[in-house]
Amino acid sequence: MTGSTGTGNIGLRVRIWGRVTAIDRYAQFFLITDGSGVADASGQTGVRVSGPVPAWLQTGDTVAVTGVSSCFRRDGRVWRQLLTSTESAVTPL
Amino acid sequence: MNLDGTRQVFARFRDPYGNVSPAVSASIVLDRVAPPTPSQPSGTSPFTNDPEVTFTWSTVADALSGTAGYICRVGTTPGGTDVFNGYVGNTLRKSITGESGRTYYCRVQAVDNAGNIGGLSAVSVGVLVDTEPPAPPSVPSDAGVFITLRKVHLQWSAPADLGGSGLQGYDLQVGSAPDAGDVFSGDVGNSVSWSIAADPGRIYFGRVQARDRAGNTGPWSPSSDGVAVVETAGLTPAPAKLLPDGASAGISAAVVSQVSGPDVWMQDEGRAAGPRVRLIAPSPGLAPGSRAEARGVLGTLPDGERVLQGVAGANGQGPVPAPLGLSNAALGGGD
Repeated sequence: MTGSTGTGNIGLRVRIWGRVTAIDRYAQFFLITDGSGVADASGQTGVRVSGPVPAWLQTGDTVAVTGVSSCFRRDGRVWRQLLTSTESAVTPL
Repeated sequence: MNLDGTRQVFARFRDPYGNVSPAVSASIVLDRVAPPTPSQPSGTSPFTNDPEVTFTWSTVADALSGTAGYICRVGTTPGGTDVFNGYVGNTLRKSITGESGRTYYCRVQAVDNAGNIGGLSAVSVGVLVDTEPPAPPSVPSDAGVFITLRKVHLQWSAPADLGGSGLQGYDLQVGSAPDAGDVFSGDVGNSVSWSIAADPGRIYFGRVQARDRAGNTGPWSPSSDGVAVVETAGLTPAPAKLLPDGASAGISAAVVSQVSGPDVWMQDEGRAAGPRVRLIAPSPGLAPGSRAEARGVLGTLPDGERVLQGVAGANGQGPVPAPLGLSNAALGGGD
């Protein structure tokens, strides 16, 4: 995992939080950062949250997201991502 | 004195004045003997799914005047005439259009050229018209969610056969996916259960259809929910995740944390992650919080995540497992 720390938790139901740094409604993902500075495969800062994007979500919002810890491969590297299945997985803080 | 037979008849004609013509003669056949009784007619079979029922019989020889034809009687009771009763000419068959669920009988008698009518034949064996296919059998049941035995046993319940001819047997299909017959497809006779040899790492689905004695084939039953033959059973999600690619496993005591399309995520009650389960057959009962079992073959997705491709089923419902709070950097971890 690119820039990973801690024990493996892929497949586990987890909750992360942070400020929204980017939204791609077409590809159905957005990025959040909690200040730890991790990078996404897109080159932007933040953790990728893949799943339904709530209509109310805006860049700069601070949110908590519950989903399943997962990963994806891009350019030969494995990147972290959180998988959600409903918009209700995203709650404003 | 028996006068029957071919006779020469002579005649002379006299007018009112007493004149007498020369004698004239003609040959006639005098026949006062009834023709023989025909043999018992026969139908095509005791059961038919063709509404057109045909009875046939053998010719009879009338020694004197010759056989002119036959009188046929067809009824829905032995000896009955409620369907047909009449002269059919010099043919050896009679067809009628029957109704499904009814049995038809036939008897015949011969008529000679002198008008004598012979005796009635014995009544044919009844022919039951059955145009209604059997209902589908019950969904085949198997030994459970997964097994370690190298044999899959399927059993089902006999359906009703509304047409009345009765069930003759079953066609069974066993496949590696619902409604498939790539493992076995064939006639299993009149048994309501069947066993086939099975290989570890494969999942077996079965469906069955019934055939009746009239030749009707009913619709397929729904496919069974699948049974996996696994090398290792009874694992919790976390140790199952550690098995190598290609290993077959049955996961028990799992809690569903998320469902998305064909993908289900399961973890231990103690909050240790298991592999993603990618369903090859729908399992509508699965939802977050479901207590579940899964079975299938371990693999690794192109993105690097471990996956169990197989089937799963819920056996209870409880709370959704509480999420573990993580920093962004800890997401994924070192897995």
